[in-house]
Amino acid sequence: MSSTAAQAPPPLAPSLDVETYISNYSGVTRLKRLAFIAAKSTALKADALRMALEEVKRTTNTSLYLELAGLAEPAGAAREDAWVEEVDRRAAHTLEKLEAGLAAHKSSLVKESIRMGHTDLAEFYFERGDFQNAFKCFVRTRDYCTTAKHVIAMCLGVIRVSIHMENFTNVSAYVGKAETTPAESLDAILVAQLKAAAGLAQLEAKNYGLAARKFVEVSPELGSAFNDVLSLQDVALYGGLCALASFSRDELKSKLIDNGGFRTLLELFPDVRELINDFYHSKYASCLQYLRKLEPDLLLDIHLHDHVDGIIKAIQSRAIIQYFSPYVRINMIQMAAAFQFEVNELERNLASLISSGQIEARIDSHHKVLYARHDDQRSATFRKVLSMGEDYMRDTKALLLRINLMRHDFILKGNADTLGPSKSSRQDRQDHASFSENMSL
Amino acid sequence: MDGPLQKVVANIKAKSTSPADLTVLLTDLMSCEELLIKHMPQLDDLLPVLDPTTHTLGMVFILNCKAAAVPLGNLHAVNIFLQQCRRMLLGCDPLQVKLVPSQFVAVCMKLSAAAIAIKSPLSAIRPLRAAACALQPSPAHFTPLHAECVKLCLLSKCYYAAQPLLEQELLQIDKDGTHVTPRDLLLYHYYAGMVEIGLKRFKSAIQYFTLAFSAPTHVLNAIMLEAYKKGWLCSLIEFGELPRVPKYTSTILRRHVKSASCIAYQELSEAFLAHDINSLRAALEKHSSALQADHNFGLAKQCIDALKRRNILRLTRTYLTLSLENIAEQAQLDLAEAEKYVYDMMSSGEICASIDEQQGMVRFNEWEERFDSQSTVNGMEQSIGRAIALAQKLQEMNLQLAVDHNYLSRVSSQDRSHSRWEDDVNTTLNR
Repeated sequence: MSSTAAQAPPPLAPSLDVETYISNYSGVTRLKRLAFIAAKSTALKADALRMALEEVKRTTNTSLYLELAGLAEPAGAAREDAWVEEVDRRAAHTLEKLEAGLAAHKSSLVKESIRMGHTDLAEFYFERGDFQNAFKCFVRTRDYCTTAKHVIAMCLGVIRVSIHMENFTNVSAYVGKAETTPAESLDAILVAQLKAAAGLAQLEAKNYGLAARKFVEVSPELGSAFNDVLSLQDVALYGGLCALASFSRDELKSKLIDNGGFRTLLELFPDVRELINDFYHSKYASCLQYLRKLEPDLLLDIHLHDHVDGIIKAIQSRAIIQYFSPYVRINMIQMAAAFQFEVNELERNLASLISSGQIEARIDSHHKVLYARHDDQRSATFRKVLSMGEDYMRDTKALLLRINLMRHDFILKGNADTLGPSKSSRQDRQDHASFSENMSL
Repeated sequence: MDGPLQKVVANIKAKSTSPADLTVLLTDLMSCEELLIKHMPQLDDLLPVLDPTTHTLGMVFILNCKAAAVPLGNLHAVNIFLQQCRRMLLGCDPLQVKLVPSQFVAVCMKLSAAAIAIKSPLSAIRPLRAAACALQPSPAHFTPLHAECVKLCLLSKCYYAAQPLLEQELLQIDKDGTHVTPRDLLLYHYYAGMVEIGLKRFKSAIQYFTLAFSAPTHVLNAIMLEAYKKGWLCSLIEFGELPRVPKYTSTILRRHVKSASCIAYQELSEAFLAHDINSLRAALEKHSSALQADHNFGLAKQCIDALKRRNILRLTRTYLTLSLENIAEQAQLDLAEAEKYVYDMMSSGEICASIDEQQGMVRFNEWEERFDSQSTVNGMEQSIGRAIALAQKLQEMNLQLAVDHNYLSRVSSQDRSHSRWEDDVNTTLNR
């Protein structure tokens, strides 16, 4: 079903209203998300582009404007070169001014002024969409930070820029730095921002479990403070899906359903709340239904789109595993009905789960029955012991030999003497040639 | 037989009894080497007079002088030489052999070359095996003759003939006593691995190849590389996975096998690990010339068979019953082939299954092994015994190292820059 969604504009796509969706965000992410939607969905392309163009003209990001205008041109929107020139000119002027200011601060050797100068420059680049330079400027402020607050401000700046650069290893690194900076009391909003950023980084690294753990700790106090990166709804969505894909039933209960803070977030996204409740109450058919309904929208999410497939598969697998866990044997036709799957599709899913070791069971394909398999502990132990013993013997012997070789300095060296391999290697090859027939047996 | 030679023979006969005499004889013989070479044609008459068991030392000297001059093209001369060597090696006295290791090894190498030259490697296997055992200071010592003998077994395709040598647990090295070189060790392990392939004992073959390619080295060695490649294929066939590489394997080798020069093996294993027979076939086809150049094509072809079996085996872990059609579909075989494989694997005991001909269903059963028989107990006891013996060896080695002069001087020196040697020993001991 994911493949159909990817091929054509999904029939459920209109459930996403671009205007309401984008109103949750501010700053550069609005542009990026609109551009992303325009690139992914043909149905929403016109709307998204129009809004993006309007939006971008309120900023100084001319390179993005040109890019968007290029996309919109076939639809008849004219490019306003005059505006671009004007903005570029003004930007060059501002840049000059900022750099001159920074140089003056540097000669005056006042740390705080230099830091401000760099920060201003970074904000300027950021606004222009030049993330590389913005990143550099933010990192440069580091040497001029005098208080913990400055350090954290620097980290947050780097994190924002890195998220937009899609450099998520940097995000993790700077979240770590910010969290270890000794500050008397971290602002609750700040903590939430850091958690959300860390969650995002883990999500991009496909560590869904770790991502979920970070997201569920984000407090609702975050409000709209991080809207230039992601909204509270996003936290609920990402956190909910990642949790379903990786948490055990107990964890779901304690970390999601009983977690007051996260429940508030879930209220903002009722579909996800229903999804989680259905999953927890073992209503898998309706749970998967919600997922299917959400999928087209998820594919249009700038951060989630790459992971939709993986997460949905993981949720499905967890659902199957959980469904089967209390049974000793189960009729696969009934099971397929509970999941609204084809029996053959279910069988394939089950087979891959079994071969990857996630379910201990065996399939009776003839009678369409799934049997739980209880491995005989005793013989499993015997087998393990025997193979461990074998490994031990093999490794120890190899090591004994190696120690002896070392003690006698039996190391191959590249000398041209008779012991050396370089001269003899050609000879060896000839030797090998002579018994090649053995190998072709 | 004229005067000077007569005297030499008399000397040999007189001084071949006590160890003290033997050392005297050794110096005497050294000094009359020139004389022997001068009278080369008469040497053949000398040998029958001497008894291999009592006069080993003398015979080794005479044969060594002769060996350098045997024309490998002359069948008659080679046959005579072979006969003489056989007689000496099969009866030789180990104590006397150890006095002249370099000459002894030279004679044996010539013997091996001679046997190969007349295309009858089989004829030299038994003498060389005896020679290897005679030269060994203990049954745990490597000799250059081990590699040579196993090579002859390979050439003559008498893999079982190498068995007595392979059964020895070789761990010790005596450079002066046996004139063994690192290259001999590599070759021994490499040839031994190939013998095990011939006997279809892939597990043991992998062990030998691993010993070969993980040997300490500063350079990339052709033998190690070939061993790695063969071990790679064997590992796919036997375990269906990439070869286990000990962490002390040299980085040069590791880097090389990951480079583009081993692309054939990389693509083969990629297809194998994806359980995809068609892409495995394609990879084999694509790289057939490279594999043939490495003389690994036959081994690579065995991978296909191994993969078919592995795929069926995987099904048995997942399914209780499965129709033959489904087996064929999931293992990417055609129906007849699938039935044949299932049948083969059933009769060889690889899987435990029964076929319902009428419905075209195969029922896979659980393993019957319960580990509660007398033979299990016996096998266990033997394994434990072997492990204890090995642990004792390890203990001895540890004690030896604790009083080892080199080791102590390193440890006591304040020099914090760890040398390669010490690092290696420490890590190996800590493992």
